[in-house]
Amino acid sequence: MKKIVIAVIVMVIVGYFGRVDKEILDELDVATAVGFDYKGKNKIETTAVVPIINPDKDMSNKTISSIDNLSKESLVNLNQKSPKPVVNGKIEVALYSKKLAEVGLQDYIDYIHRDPSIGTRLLLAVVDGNVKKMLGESFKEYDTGTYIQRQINNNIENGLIPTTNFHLFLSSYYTRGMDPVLPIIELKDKKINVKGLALFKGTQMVDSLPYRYLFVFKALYENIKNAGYKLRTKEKGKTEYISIQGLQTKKKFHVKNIHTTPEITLHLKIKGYIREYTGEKVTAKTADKAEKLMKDKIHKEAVSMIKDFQRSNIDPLSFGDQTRSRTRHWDEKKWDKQYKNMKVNVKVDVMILEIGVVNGLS
Amino acid sequence: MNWFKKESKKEDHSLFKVIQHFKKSGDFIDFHNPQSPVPYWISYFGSLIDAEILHRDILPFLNKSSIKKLDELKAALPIENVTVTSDLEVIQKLMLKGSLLIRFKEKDSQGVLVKAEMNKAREVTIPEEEFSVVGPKEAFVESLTTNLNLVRKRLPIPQLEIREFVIGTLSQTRVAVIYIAGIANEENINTALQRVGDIQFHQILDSSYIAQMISDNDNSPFPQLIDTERPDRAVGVLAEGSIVILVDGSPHALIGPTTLVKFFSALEDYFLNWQLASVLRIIRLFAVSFSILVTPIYVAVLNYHYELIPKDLMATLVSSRSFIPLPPFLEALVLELTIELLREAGARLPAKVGQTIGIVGGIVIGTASVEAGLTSNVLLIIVALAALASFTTPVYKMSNAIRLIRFPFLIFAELWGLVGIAIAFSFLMGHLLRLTSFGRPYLEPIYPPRLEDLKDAFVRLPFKMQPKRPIELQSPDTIKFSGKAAKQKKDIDE
Repeated sequence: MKKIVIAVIVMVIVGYFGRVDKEILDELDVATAVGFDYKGKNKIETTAVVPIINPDKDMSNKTISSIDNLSKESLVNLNQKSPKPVVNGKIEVALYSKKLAEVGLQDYIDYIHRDPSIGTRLLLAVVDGNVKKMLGESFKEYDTGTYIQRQINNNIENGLIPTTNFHLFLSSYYTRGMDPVLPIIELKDKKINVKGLALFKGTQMVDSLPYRYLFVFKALYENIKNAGYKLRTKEKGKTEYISIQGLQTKKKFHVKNIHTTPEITLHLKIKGYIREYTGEKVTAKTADKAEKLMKDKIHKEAVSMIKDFQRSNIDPLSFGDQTRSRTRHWDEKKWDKQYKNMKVNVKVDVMILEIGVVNGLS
Repeated sequence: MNWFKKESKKEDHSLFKVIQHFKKSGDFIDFHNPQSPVPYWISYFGSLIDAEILHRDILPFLNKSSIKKLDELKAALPIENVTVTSDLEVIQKLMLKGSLLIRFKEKDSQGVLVKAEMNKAREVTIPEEEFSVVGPKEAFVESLTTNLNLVRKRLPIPQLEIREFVIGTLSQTRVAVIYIAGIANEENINTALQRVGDIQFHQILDSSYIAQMISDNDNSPFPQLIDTERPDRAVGVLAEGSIVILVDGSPHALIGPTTLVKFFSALEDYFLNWQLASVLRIIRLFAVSFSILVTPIYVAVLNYHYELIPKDLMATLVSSRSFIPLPPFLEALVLELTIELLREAGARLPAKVGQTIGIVGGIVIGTASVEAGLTSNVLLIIVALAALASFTTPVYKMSNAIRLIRFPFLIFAELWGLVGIAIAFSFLMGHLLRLTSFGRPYLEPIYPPRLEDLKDAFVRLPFKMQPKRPIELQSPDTIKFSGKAAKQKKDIDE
């Protein structure tokens, strides 16, 4: 009996005084997005978005920002400027200004990487423009952090942004023979607009890809489940447009001569159906034509895109990783030398599966 | 029985003295009829006697008969259970149980004892606590004889053995231990017989007294014997090899050995088809875990783990809590106690007032406290659901235990968050693993793992798939019926 009493007392004392601090939900400022702006050498401005939930479930949000040298230190300063403690367990988007990305994200990613309460499904994006201004904008349906996260996610699932999150960014950063990419967004007419893709070498942004090349990039980067594509043709001297929807792609790598001079062949299979045609009638011939047009166009774009990557010595399509996974004792240095002049063939295969319901098919 | 002995030793023990002593009670009747052919004295407790037997059978017979000897009278009386004795102890005992004493001389040392006890008991009624829509609708009553009849008529076999004990120095309560010889495990029978026989207590008012006295661990909040008011349930487990204990004056039978899972199976599960029964059981088990865990999880998550809350739910939670002055733990505790208060008030009050309590509690207090900003409506829903879920348990005593163990979980959740809930859960598991019922493991199909018994635990598989008695009961006759033969279904034209 005495033992049990002592055990209970010890447990209560240790348990009560040795526990972690309470973080009661309604007494916290739960940040949903965090943004970093470049403010001179070794100086950044950190901005956190905190949704304010009113009792009638009306959403609004406030931003808190502070300028500092280290990103973690600025979090302490954020607390100083807020009536409630700012916590970062619910951050879903981290935004970096283009300037900062060009300088290098290494120091600012570390902060997110170390914090155990931040998940690796966090979305990262590069902002063309002022991050603080973008986060200060309010969108009606959701708070700013959620809004941006939802829009990027929607663009990943049904649009042309290649699948990206913090985990994938880190994985492509640490993988040998692979370079990370991040979407570029901008604030345009009080709306978020996906502008293109930032291409990184390590954690430094070196180049960018405009939005119109994203379909080809995404097709080469991963398998697309649902996307659309627009073709321009000339018929009887008139410019007509064909819209192809429900596109599904599959890519395959073939590597030849791994040990001597590798040569990569990319097989790209595209399936889709014609949804809209500005011309007179959609017939089987139109489909054939569209297939050929699309094949040529994608092939051209892909080849030139890969050439560009090779020229600026970045490897976002993970050619290095593909050869590495096929080779025992892969030599990174040798690969780095070979990469610039490596031959990459792209083979595109387009299939139009249907042309929609057409009355009076002739 | 000691106080009888003391008295008879002290006093000069003649029958006459005993009767003189009894006469001090207002309900004792001792009258003399000198007009009959043979004059006789007859004495009895008016409150224990069935007057109809006396007036219809005994008095007319005595008034006409000319028998002069007690032994002859015994043979001639048209009633069974007639004893001739001079043993004062027996006479006292039988008279106190409702026998008439007939003497031919006033100061005779011998008498004829005729059993004429009044058996006024409640009619067999519909089970109220364990009501089922389908199936038999008989429930045990307070009379042991009636209850034994309800059991015996469902099992008309010679192997059904009923051992009776008389327990309670004052109450002299009859306790019957029932089992089927050859099906119930010898060890279990001996445990039950020994434990019931060893009870030292002055008064047994209900079978719950026995349950508390013979349970393996009386410091546990969990009941270790199922109590049921359904004779069909009692008979059902008898056939599996369990032991049933019936107590005179109690409409509840005790069933042991049992396991935790059996507390969550209603008898109706066997009346419905197996798919439906399995789903109902799973729902019930889910309800129980929900009932125990949901309020502690609410407290833990709101206190420590805001990261776990989905963002869409966050707005609801924060907005409902925005004006609440209490921290989550106190809020939950106040609400839980309110529900317990309502339940207790409803249980103590007469049925008609009880309904009013429900309305007052549910509508007035509930809505008003949310509107006044004392509790959040999210928690109100959670606590109400948890209370509702705890009532899905078919055995009333188990549902009480479940409501009780929620509170330690709540405290642990307040102290250490989800880690605390895990700690509390391991304490609970440790306790349940150590618990036994008549020496058999309480957590049985889970630990020790018995795949065979899982067929009738969380789910109820079809009858033909369960040809064996549960391993847990260690029955010497393991086969219920031939499983192979039961699986064959022959049409008449085959």
